[in-house]
Amino acid sequence: MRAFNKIVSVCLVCAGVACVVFGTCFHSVDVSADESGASLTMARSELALTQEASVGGAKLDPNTGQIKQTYTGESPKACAT
Amino acid sequence: MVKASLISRAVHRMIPYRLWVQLTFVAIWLTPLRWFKVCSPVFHCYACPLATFACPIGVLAQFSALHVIPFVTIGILVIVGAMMGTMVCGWMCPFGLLQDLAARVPWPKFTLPAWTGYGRYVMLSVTVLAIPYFFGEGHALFICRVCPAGALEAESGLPQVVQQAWNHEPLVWPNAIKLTILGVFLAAIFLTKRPWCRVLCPLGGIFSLFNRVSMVYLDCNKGTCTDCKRCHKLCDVNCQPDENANDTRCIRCFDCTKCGPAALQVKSMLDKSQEV
Repeated sequence: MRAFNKIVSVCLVCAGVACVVFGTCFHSVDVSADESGASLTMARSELALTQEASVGGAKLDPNTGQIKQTYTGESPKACAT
Repeated sequence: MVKASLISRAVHRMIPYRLWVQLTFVAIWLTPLRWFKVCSPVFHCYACPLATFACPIGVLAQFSALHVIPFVTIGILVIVGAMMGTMVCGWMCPFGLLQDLAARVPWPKFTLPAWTGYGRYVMLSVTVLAIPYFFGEGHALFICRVCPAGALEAESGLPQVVQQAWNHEPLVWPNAIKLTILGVFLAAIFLTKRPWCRVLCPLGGIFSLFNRVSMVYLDCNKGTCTDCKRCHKLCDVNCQPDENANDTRCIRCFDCTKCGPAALQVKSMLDKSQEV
């Protein structure tokens, strides 16, 4: 049983590392922003999106299903909650 | 015979000093890092300016609201969980430390029924995943709007109110639901041991799922156990370590290893079996 658990825990650590590497290096999300009247779609890395979402800078548009930037110019500084 | 690895020997030696380890985490790792705008994994609120690897619950909820999978956060949770399980709760969490200190106040304590432990998974699936997914981050029961840990420790909670008072600025209080939950929680920590961890903490709920397979684990030697049940009395969260050493309710404080016959021992996957 312990040998099985050892294999499971090693596999979990490897899966975790793979997730971190994928999320850090390869995962990006399209965020649309309104810049001077024109809609612009930019790819944001997962890390950038985390910081953006944490201050309410990115929200899901329920009508289009797109992630939208909620501000123009400087990003909000404080957490929305 | 099993030869203990450096990890299990180190943890075993540290058990009498667990409170000091918790205090060290708050005093050396968490607080000063925050002053220098550096966030530590798992603990700091993600609203901190450099909190990319911070509060995973906040990140999970925010990404659920955006309908995006947070691979980095899931990866960190899986790595930490697979290595330590709920040791994070018992040894590092500042919110757990607060509850441990309150539990030392001599006041009658009542016991929570075992089924309340499932509340953590309800909290995780409802306020962290389902509500953000279906209603977005504006919902009143979105985890960050109700989390007492956030109200007490996060930049947007009471620390901010104190800072505003210090600077003679107009006070912006956290919302009423958050403050009410914080008030109930602060009262509850004197009436029962570790109420937040046992009933509602979604982060503890995630780590508890790894307890059975984590690299550091608790082992009960049935040959040495005298069935005295002292471990039941030593356990703050009402587990029965002799029957299920790696229970999902366990916070891995390892106090149960202080039972007389030393049947319960901290072990790690790196321990080597040796023929004698």
